[in-house]
Amino acid sequence: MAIPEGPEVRVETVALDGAGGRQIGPRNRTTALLKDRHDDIQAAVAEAATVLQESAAKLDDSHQWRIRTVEAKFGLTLTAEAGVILSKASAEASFEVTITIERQGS
Amino acid sequence: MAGRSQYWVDIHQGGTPLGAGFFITARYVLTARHCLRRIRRDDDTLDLHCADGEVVAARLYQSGADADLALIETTKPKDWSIALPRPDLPRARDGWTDPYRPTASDPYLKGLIEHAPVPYLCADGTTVQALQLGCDQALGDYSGYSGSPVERLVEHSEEHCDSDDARLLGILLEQHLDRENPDRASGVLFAATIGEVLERFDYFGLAHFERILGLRLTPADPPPFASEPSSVVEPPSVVEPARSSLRAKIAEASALVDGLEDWVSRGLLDPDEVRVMASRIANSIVDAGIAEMTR
Repeated sequence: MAIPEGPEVRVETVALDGAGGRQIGPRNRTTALLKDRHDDIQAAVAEAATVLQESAAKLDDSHQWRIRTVEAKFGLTLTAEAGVILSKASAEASFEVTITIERQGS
Repeated sequence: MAGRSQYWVDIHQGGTPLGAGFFITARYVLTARHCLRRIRRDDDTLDLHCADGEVVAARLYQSGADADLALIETTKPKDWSIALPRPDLPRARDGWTDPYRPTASDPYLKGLIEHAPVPYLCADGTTVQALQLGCDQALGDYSGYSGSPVERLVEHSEEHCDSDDARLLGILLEQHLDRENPDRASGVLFAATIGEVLERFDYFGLAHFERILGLRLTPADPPPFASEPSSVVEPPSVVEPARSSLRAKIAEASALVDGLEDWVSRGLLDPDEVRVMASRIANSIVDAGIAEMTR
């Protein structure tokens, strides 16, 4: 789907320093154009949804119980370099995503 | 601000703030190596924004290969009007303070030294002798304070001591993260001891001062420069009697330091204590040398 032209929308990104937040150099706030990171975001959500769908498909229904929905909530943080970090939803995350998988025929 | 040490700097490259540092001698600034992570690969020139407002041009001089420390050299002498701190030895339960803060809306940090010295494994995989610092200001995130100096807190006052009296204990490097919530820092910080700094850079050894003064009593290899070093300043012309006198002083100091190191090897003296003493001896030699050459 083509994204209509409009005002510049930027999204905050984080630098991957590999130090796990222990080093206390300045955290320079960096941003990127949201439209430039469109593919990164879409790929991350699609991959997470696939993992969740496959997990739900493997769930064993037994003892007359049936699991109808599986829900996952996670944070999605864009790295300054490229790519996305999926993590526990937190203040650091750029987006908070909730995926709900509902079994067909439920 | 009156009463606070003024020897710290904000390090910038091309308008981007990189972190804190501080003058450890009139020409060299110490910082945390990780502050310089984003320095351009093809350009090691830096701007040092000093506490008194002056901006001094500088370049990376030496990056500690096996410690999260780096030394920056000013390329032009600073218009010097601030007092340098004196290295000192930390003791557990002493008060500490940091005269630097990243912005005017950030608090100054202070607290108690919980353990010193303690071997500390840094995030970059290197190990340093460190101070474990309890911090009174619960910020949850101490980013921006790296590379700033840790001073002894003067007991009779909650304020920082005057620059003239500042006692330098270490350089701030890392925060400890809350184990239950790693997105937040606990109130524990780690700083490399000043003894560790003196050990890591041969700039602080007597051999370096011998080279600067043009008196080569002991052969020494040049330091592993991060880039081509700027030329070492040789005295324009040294009067021979002054050289003789200096030689005698350096020989005496070298013998003294050798003696102290012998005591360390026999377990009679603490190595950190000797490094601080050696640094003071070296500084007094330089002072004496400059005085004789300008006589």
